[in-house]
Amino acid sequence: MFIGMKRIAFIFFAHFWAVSLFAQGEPVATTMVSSNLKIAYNGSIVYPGLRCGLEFPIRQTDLKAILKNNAWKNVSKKRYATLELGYYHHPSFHDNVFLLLGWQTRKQRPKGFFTEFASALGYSRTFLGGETYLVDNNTGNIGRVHQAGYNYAVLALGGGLGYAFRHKSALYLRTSLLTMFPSINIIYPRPTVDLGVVWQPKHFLTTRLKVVSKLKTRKP
Amino acid sequence: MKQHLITLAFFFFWYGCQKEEITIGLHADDTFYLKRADASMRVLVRGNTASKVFMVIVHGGPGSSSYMYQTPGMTDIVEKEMAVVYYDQRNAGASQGNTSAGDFRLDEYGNDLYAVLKLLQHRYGDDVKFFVLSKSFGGMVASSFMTKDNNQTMVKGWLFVDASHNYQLNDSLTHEMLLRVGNEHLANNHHAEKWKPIVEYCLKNPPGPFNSHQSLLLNQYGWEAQKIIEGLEQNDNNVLHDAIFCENMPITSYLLGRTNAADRRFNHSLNNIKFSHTLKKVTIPVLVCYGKLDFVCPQGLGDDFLAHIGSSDTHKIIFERSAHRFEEQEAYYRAFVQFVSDHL
Repeated sequence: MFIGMKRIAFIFFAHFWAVSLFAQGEPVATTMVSSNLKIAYNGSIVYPGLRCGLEFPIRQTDLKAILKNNAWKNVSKKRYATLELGYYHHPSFHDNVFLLLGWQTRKQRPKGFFTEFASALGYSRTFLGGETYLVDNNTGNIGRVHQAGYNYAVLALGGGLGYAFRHKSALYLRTSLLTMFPSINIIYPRPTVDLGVVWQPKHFLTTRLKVVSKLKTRKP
Repeated sequence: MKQHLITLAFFFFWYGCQKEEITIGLHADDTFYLKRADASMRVLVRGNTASKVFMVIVHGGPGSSSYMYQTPGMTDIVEKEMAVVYYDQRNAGASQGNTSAGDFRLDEYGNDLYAVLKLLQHRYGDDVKFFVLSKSFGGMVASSFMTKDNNQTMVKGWLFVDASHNYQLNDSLTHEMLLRVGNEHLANNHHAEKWKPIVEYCLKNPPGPFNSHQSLLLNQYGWEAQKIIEGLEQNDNNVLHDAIFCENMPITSYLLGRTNAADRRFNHSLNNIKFSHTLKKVTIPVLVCYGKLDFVCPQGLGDDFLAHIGSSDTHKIIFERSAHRFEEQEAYYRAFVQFVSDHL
């Protein structure tokens, strides 16, 4: 068990060390911006749930590139640190509450459409989908176990798409794979689908955002 | 914020302290979990619990699931007469936990079955009568349970259905049947292209102690043969579909239970376990059922089982148009009900 915890701690450390490397870019400007709030229906395919969280903007890269037909292409790449709390209910199997700390990139086109990729690490606690009894074969003692379930480390990977509206809000659809471990099956993968909204309230958990502008031109 | 946290904490406290739901009636549908060490096994009790007769299904695999036995026929024929107990063994179906691979030992599976029966007595009363139905690999689990201490005294009867109690014998019988039936088909040019690789494999791997790799391949060829053999009763049940969409089966858990490394290692350990010579300890009534076209667990296993069992109250039924999946559903279920009602 101790070795397992060390492994998990190492994975957490490696993840955030890798994430911190992104901060090595050269910012052109910094600005104070609000963080985003998000809430989504989080279905584990057919089993209902909810996911809510925060997105802390870290870095924005505005990319302007000239295409072969001499048209300009504008793309904005945003990176966020994220904190999410999720839940789903799978009748007679388990209820699962999970807390994820992650990293998210969002690539937004001028018309408002965006694609995103998210990775996260976290903790999951399941609650078994029925009364649970502990049976001791040697003594014959049988007792009920309240709030029976299991603790897992979680690795989540996901990708999706969405549309950003003018008033600092967006609609998104994302599929994710929650991978819980260590499990009776070594790992326990669980696909989920999120349909939700993101919005950016005014002066909410304001953070310093690094904004980098890049221009890509064709080679002469 | 504090109020929300208190509400959330209260919710989980309430959730964890719900009253036990124990149904004594004609249409019970109780799900609960048995926890032993770090494994939690799902137990579903359905049907007529008022009868105080419980038929406990010990499913195959290892790593299959009791969901596969929740068929309309089981509901309409068996659950009307008695309670049917579908329990997922460790590392199977909806079972959960943090168990390491080292805990997958056959005697632990037998101990789990003992704990299931104890738990059923605890919930439904000491006066309940148990019948154990073991299928395929479940025959190994049930053999481990029945031959240990006085466990068999907890059970009124044992239904040994398309089951195995000796993997080496199982492999030899599968090999012999594949070769015999395969050669017949090649001689008559029936599905010759499909039988040819099966026969060739059997010829290249003559009978003897088969290693676990050979054992696995013979099992796979057995399933292949059942897809091409003629004379099977057609069965329209789509059990997997129903399990996923009607019974909330956790599909990823089920699939991993069938394929993971722990499961494969456990399978290797079964290769040399045989119960033929310890079965003489078992004196309770037994019903032995086999499909005549079963290549996975051929009917010769039933003959060996009956030759070694200590019981004098034995019954044997061969289903002419069945293989390894209760193809003649109604006939199987009616035979189960008849055996149980004759031995109350």
